Amino acid sequence: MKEKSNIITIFSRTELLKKQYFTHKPAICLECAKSRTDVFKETEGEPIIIRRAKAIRRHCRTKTINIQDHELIVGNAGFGPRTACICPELSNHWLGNELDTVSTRPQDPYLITEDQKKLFKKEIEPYWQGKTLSEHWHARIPENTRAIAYKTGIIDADLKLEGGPGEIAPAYEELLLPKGYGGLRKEAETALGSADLTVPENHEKAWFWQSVIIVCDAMEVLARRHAEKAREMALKETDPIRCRELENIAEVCDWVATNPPRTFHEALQLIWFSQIALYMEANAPSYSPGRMDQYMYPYYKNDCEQARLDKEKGQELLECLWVKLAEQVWYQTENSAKYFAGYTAFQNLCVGGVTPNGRDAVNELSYMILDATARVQLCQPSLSVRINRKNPEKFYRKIAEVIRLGTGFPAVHNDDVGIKMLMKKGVTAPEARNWCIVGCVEPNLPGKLSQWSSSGHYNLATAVEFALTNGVHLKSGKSLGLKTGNPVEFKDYEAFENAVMEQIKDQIRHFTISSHIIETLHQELLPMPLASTLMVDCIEKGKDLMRNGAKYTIGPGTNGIGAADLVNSLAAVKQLVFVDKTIKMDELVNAIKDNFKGHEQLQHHLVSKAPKWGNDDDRVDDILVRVMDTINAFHHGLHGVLGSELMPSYYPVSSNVPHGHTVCALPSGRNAYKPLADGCSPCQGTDKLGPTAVLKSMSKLNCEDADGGLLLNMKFDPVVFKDQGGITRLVSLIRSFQDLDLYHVQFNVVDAKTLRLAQASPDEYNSLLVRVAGYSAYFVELSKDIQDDIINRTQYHTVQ
Amino acid sequence: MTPNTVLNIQKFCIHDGPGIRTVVFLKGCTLACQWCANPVSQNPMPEPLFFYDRCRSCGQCSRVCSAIAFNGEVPQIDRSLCIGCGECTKQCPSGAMEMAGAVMTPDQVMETVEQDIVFYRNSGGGVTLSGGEPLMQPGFTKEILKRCRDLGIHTAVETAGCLPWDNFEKVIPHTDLFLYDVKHLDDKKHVRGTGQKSNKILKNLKKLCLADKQIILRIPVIPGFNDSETHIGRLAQFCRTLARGIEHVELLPYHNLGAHKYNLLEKQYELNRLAPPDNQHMLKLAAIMEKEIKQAGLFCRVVSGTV
Repeated sequence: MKEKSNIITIFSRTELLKKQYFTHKPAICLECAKSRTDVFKETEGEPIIIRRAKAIRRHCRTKTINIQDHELIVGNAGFGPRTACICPELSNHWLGNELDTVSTRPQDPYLITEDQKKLFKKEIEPYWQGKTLSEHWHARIPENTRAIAYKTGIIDADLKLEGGPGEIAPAYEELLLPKGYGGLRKEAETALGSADLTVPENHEKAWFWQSVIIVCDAMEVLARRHAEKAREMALKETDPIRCRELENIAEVCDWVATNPPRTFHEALQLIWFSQIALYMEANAPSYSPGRMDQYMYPYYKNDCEQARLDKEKGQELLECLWVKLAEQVWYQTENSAKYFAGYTAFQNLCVGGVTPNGRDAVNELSYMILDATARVQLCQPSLSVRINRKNPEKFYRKIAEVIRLGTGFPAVHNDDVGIKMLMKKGVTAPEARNWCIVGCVEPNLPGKLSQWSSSGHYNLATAVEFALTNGVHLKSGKSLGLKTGNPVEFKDYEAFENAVMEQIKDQIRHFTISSHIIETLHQELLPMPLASTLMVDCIEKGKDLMRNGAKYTIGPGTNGIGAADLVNSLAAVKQLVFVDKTIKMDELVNAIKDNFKGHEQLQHHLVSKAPKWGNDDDRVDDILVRVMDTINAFHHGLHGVLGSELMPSYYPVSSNVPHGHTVCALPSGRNAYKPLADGCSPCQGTDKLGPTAVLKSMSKLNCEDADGGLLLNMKFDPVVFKDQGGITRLVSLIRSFQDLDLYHVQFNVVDAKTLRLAQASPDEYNSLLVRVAGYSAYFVELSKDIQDDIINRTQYHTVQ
Repeated sequence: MTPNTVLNIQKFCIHDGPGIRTVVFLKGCTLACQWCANPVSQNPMPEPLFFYDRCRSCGQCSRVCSAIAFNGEVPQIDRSLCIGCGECTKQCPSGAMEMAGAVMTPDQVMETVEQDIVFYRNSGGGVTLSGGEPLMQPGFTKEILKRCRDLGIHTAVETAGCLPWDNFEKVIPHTDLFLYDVKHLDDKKHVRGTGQKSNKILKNLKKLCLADKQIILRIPVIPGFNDSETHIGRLAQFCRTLARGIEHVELLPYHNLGAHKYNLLEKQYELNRLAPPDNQHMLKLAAIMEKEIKQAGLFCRVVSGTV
């Protein structure tokens, strides 16, 4: 195998790395949990932030160091590729209750060994008993909020309840690359040195600075140990070329242990160490590398000018990083995995847009990054593009070419709208022009904005159910909603809509209460020394992210699921019960309670005679605009514990499927427990007039008011974008999307036949990527429910 | 002649002229081609379609219409008595009766057409009037085309050409592009396939070529009817004589995707056993065409709208 490296070209290295990648199944890593448990046992009484910093340092000192064949960029958060770091301080339900099912469950199983199970039961779980975030939440949550917010499928707050905060774009450009961990350490030392501890609030600051110093040391250890490992391997390596590569890796790792990087390779390696360390600090999704084409370009250009690098070599390094990004997974409970299916770590990386001073930002690296995604075709990084009218036509065509490959990348974001969304939050224009995407579709600022974009989901369709049942959850028979009255007594449509809105507001209120408790617990139990080190202003203020350390703090964000189900239901009641009067309210309520059994004609009537979202039909579109404006405004009147406004958003991840499992039949004609519509996309099969009508409907929403982001999925038959004409056609759709002031669109360009084949013989399709919602995942790694949902989304094609 | 009957309006069409287009299908045709992919477009009046598999045998439709008899199982529509009022479709609770076509005003058509202007503008697309035969309703067609033009929307007309020249004259000034169907050069053959002679069609085409409009010639290739190499060769020679008038030639392979629609009108599809031409044959015919017309600066391509 070693001899082969003589013929490794840029193309074959990527291929070899990919092949290697697919031999790794996601697995549990307990090294992190073990070192955290040990450190916590040893440090009782010390400030929590210091204990957490020490835990990271212990992990970096003791973890398995792994360098794989062919790699140029090295390192993993766990003991190897696709291993998830367990963070026992979050929840003991995490693994404790699921030890025996975690490797066999239907969505996102992780491998676990018998030894690991023993270790967990014996050493880890007992220590954390009674100390975890989720246990604290249960101890504090008001009973009526718990009833609706815990494992009901109505409100889902597991993400932040059983996970770290995640959801930042670290200040790679502004802090890390120019200073290195040595420079950041020095800043903390200086601040600590001049701290006057006779001032009471300075104690907490001092603890923060101490923790920064410790995590910078941890980062140094991490890099040095990789350098050591590479040198060790080089000594044993018989192939002179690989030997030289390993020596080079060692030099790169050694340098970036404390210093700011000098070369493209060093900068990529430093970023990668930081990415994995963030996932060690807290098991969470969404640490975004952000605008890589911008901050990496100076290194690329300089290397090329110095003849240290050429385009091919640069491309190869990017592709090496791409495979590493795909190796990053996080751990989710069985429940959570339904909502965020597909293992993806949501490392959103974006290209394009404009510079802070408003010039076209597209450069050679923007294209190389698009090429890397086109060629590597793995589930990560989540690649997004910011499209701006100042970007060259060539850039648009390149985007179309990559979309056409069918991997769901890149997601298309409208620059103008993203900038507006951020400026609404009080960000200055030059800062807003430097925005990037975090998670699925959430607009963010590299290094400056702490926002819990997704604090969880609530269920818009359930609000319809509650309005029709006077607050009763039909599936459980419990009274979980408000008593908004007997629907038969609603005098007019407005009364019905009001009832639905009251139910929505009630959910948001419960959500907020739960969220406040979670935020407070994060402050108490989960400070983030490393993430805070990588955010502008935290060191200066001496404050962690959860203490308002970042320049801007926004949110938390809530995520409304089933927008199309909500509006189709409202429109059906309005049109058929109150305008046409062809259905009586009591008939409707009965039919819904019976899940349309014996009421098939009524169901047909609901399906065929009421207007549906996504057809450019004002009768229904106007309702959603009005309802969403109300929901958005309601959010902006509520606040998180750090004083910032709640942030409305409408992107489902994969939660539209589990949220559907809890909702009864709806006036839209949807049967009970079927998936809800994803994001703001139309319900499956109800957008009869094709993609242009969907985009037009979407354009009526005030995207910038849903400042947490909203999502639109579109699925096309590959034939539509065939040939040169197909590229032009796709570009014209994207340009229209831009003219319509839409925020986000993502494309699945794959035919249903292929998806069905993949469902039937998964082994042959293990690399088939599909867009779920805001991210791509391997189709065969999704549960059948979610696979079916994707197959059933309306596919646009054209017929004569 | 007919009251502004629209069959349907379809958005995001990509095979009927340049860019992303909205196609307005008008109802009614002067030909009755055996291979017609949409028999519902032939009758110029709105008419009910009957979906057998959706029928729950309730008989509601027969109670409101004397043209419908009900035997306890399925309604029998006497289409010679149907006036296209649509009462039966309103009564049907299961969607088994659906109306095909509606009388619309130009305003109503334009409301839909204007919804997609942003897509026309970005793709170089526009509106195509098709059918049926849009020139059967020249006044209506003209009005829609004119209103499109006033908004800067590119206009195309898809025609089979079998109409009085007067009908053309009405729409020519408002049309950017004609998609002109030619099926067979031989009158007798043409009558057998379509019910009408080809003479008038070819004459109109020649005249239209002098009108200084963009014309794309479209030849549906029907196996056993017009797909012999000799006939395509003759068509090619004919095209060459038109050279200056037309943009290019498109060959459209026959398909039977519309066969099920015959059932909806209780009609028989006569070409049930006819297989679509294979790709190789299409390419060969295209080569024959291309060879002849190339000298005149024209090209030929095979256009298949379906997968």
